[in-house]
Amino acid sequence: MNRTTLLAVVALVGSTGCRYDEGLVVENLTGTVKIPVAAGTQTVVRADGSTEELTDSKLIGPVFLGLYSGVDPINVQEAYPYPTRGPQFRGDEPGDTYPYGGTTVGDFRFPCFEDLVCKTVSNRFLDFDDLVDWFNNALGDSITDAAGQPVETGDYMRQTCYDLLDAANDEEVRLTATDRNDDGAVNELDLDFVLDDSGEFFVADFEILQQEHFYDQSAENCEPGIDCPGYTLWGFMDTPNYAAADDSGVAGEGVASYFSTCDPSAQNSLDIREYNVEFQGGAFFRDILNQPSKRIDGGDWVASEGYRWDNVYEQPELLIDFEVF
Amino acid sequence: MRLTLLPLVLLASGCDYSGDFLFPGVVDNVPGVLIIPTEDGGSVHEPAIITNYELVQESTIYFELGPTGTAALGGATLDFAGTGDRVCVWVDPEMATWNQAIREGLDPFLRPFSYPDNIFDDGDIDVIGGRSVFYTGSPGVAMGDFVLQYEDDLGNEVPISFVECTPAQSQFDSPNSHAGKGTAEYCEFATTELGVTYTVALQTWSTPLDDDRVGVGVLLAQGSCRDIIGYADAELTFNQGTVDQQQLECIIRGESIKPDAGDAGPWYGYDAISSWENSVEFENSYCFIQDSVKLDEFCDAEIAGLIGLSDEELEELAELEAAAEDDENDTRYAEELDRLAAEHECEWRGAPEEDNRCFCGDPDDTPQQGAG
Repeated sequence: MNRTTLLAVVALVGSTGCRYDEGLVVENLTGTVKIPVAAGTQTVVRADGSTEELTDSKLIGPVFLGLYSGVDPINVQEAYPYPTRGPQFRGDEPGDTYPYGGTTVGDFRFPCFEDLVCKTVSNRFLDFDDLVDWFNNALGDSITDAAGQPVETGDYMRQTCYDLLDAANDEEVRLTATDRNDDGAVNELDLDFVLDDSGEFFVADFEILQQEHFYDQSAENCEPGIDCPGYTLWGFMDTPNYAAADDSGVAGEGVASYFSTCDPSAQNSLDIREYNVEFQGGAFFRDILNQPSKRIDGGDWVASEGYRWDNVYEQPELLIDFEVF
Repeated sequence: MRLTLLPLVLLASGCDYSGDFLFPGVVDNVPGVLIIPTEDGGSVHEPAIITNYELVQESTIYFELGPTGTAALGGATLDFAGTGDRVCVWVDPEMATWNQAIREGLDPFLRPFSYPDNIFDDGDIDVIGGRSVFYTGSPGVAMGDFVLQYEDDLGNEVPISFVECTPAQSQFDSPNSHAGKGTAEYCEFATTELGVTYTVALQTWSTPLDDDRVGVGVLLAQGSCRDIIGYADAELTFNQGTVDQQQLECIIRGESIKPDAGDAGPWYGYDAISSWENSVEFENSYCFIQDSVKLDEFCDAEIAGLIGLSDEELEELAELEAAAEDDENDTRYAEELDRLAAEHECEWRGAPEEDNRCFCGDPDDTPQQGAG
């Protein structure tokens, strides 16, 4: 073999390496989530004793979507439909569901006031006025600032956010809606959940980025990602528990927060330490998709049936329609 | 022709590559993989009931570990019977280490650490634990872990860690991570079941560079590890403001075991071991135990050959110092100090002997401020 031949062999190996197919099916998965209007309806008891039944997409908490190897029906794993679990070996700790991936619709955002820690979810509020009005008037749970004074205007909240986050516009604060549908106006259609034409469901789009496809290893004569039996999409909604928050105090000090999926002292949450303000902003617990039952409680809603995702190009509609009692 | 053969030679040698030559060889009479037996020779320990620091010292098991001689992980295993409650495992490898603070001593806490550490005398042992049935190693032969493969409903294999005792304390105060070289660490079984056997795996991450034998102290106790710190504090009295990391180093003391040609342990209890002289005093200084000399003062004295002098020698030295203060022409004290410093030489890189064992580093290794 002369030098030229050897170089040709190396070039051949190199060029085939560039075209090597790892056999992985990795795609961005998209679909929609539907939640009955009943899930976004609550009777609110205000501090002044008045009550009112509210229906609003603000009453829809963060929605957690996971891809699991399977989903069992009611009363198999839990008293509600629930993903299959791995072994339970650590005392009372529930077994892990070992999800392949997932996402959320709505995220806990830094709320700018300690009084709002673990109470604010992204893309539920149009603007700061809408947010302040919701807590102060609709819920009757007045927001207070670091000095214990009532927060009465959206402008004051906006300015506080700008100061604490060194932000220059609302987009940087990421707490309120932006013109996502590019129709030139910020309105209800730009929120995560929008009431559908029937008026019976709130609907939201979701996207799971760069998800590797997992499928039944015993399946034969099928193409992964197209027609092999794949993982199952399942999810739940963490309903805000306003009753628990009626006697609210400082988040993270043993007082119930609105959402059971939010950890007020999460290490990965924004930790503000100014001369007159010192608190953590709260963030998701880290085990929510792995051990959903630790965070699901009465009033939350789960999907009664999962969607078996065989074809990654399908865009399923997941119905979160089972209320947990 | 020669060019053609080269890839074949590389390929053949590559297939045979184990990497063993990169690791230290076996040390005679020091095990690379050890089963820690009970004091009466049994195999299943009972976690000790600890109510004071004296019991901490009585219940600590000491031993030495060496390299396996290959790239395979070494270490020790210890089995115990579940108590139905919380169990604490505390491990402290030889000896103590710190990063030299090169900024000059404005900070009274950092000032002692402006002295360099002896980086050649520290080993690193990592602790994990779980049910014995999930342990993948062969005790006494090869170390393992608690990771098993679980097959989910779709037939995909998922590695699951069945570790029930993960380190609660690390050098950076971060949960679920191991402490570094020479640093104590502990883990807790939140609960254990009666009648179930558990295994603690003490994995040898590294052995000391100077002699490749790492002294280890391990404590298996019922209850919470935080209680152990409380017992130590009550007995030793850490200086106010001493951070946890310093305190942890002194829960188990004396783990710098003086090598014995034919014996690597285990020894049961603090009184049963033969530690290097002054190693406990060194740890006391590192831990800021009340009434101990500060670490930098200990190190200064060590390099000057003043550590380890008998009471009579120290008395004579004090007399010479007093005489020098009375008569400035009396040079005997200065000459004696010069003699002691000249006679005492630290052996950092090689195996230490009785008269050249130093716990602090070479002061000549001190970088200057602004060095980059």
